[in-house]
Amino acid sequence: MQNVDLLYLFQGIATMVASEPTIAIARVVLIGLGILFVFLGAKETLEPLIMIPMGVGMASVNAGVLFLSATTMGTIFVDPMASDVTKLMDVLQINFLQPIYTFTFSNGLIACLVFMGIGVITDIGYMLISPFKSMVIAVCAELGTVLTFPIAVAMGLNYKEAASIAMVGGADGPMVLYTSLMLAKDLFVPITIVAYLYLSLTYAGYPYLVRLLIPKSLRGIKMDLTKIPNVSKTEKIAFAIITNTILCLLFPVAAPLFMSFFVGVIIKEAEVTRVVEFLESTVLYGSTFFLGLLLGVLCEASTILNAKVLILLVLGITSLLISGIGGILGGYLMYFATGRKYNPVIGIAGVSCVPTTAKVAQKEAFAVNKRAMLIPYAMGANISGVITSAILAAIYVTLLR
Amino acid sequence: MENYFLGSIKLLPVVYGVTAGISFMVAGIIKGLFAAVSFRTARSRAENESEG
Repeated sequence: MQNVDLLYLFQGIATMVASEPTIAIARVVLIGLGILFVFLGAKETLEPLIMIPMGVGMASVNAGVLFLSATTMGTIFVDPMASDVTKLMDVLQINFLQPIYTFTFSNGLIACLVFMGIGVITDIGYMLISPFKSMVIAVCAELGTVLTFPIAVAMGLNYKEAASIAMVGGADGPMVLYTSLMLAKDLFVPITIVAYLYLSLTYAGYPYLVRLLIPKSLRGIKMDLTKIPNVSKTEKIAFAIITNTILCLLFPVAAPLFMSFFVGVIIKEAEVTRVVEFLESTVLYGSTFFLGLLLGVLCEASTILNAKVLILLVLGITSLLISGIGGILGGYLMYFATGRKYNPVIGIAGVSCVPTTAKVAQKEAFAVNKRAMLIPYAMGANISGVITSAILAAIYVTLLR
Repeated sequence: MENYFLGSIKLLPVVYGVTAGISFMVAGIIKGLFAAVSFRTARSRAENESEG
């Protein structure tokens, strides 16, 4: 038997030795980060549904680099840069995640599938309890999405990139993915990863913001639950189909997002049980899993090593922070407008991370007053936030595309 | 560069204004629906009472 070149046998290590030091170091760091995400996800410090597959993908893709030819290195996971038809046909037959990337990512389908799932688990009835108050809070909670845009431009991003990273303030993962795919395809991987990373941290971070900005005496205000109207199924369906049609008419470019969300809502309200089960379990969890896995796999050192990543990290947290402050300001606005009867903590739920921020609001009120039940109002603000985020995404995409 | 930044500032009121306008329109749709339903309910109740 001839001598075996060990480096040829273990190509993951050989490519690390052969590549530039920066790339090699980045690969090691990303492998470590991937492993960390898996553990933090398993401990539920980060959102396990997305972070575990993302971590596994990130560690695997950076470990599994091989020699594709004598001079080129790469992986057999996915090639996000393949756009030429012949090359695409080749990689579709080689890279195992390429079909999912090509047929669900580059056209935004994955975001729409997640949105269908969100629609089907959303009870639109909460929003119908006090629509104007919920909308005021939701609009205030978009402050970060709006103000981060010029901040990002001042930090050197172009309009499209700035709008994409500003969408992190809307705290809606699929929306950030959709906007960045439409506006800043080159940066959609780091932007979406920054978004999901920070969104995973909202449950841990926002309570501190609430405690910092709202005194204890106001956090415990009891909401009047006797005024909650009884909303019929027909009213919910009528609202969903009318709103969907009008929004699609106004913003055709975001029509797939609107349609996906409202079809979920309508299917749920129409009680089409089998489709509800399909969207709720298979579609939502299936697409979330592949979204996480693909985002992880796309975190290859050579793709992620971009000077703009640090800026994106700063802007992402800025956007979420300003949105949180905006939401609480909206809560205060309602507090004063209703003669000090409205609990300002509900404001944080205007940031549309369904249902995380609504849970944060309820938890913070409950910690002060065990009889303060906010969840119906908080969910109303939360769902209104989803709609305002979608409207904002549509405006950015329409104006800047 | 400065013009580019100023352009983004000028875009703010447009973006925020349109977002707020359309969001309140959606809230208006809900209010309108409620008003229509309660009007219909009240009318049918009145008709039932007059028949009774």
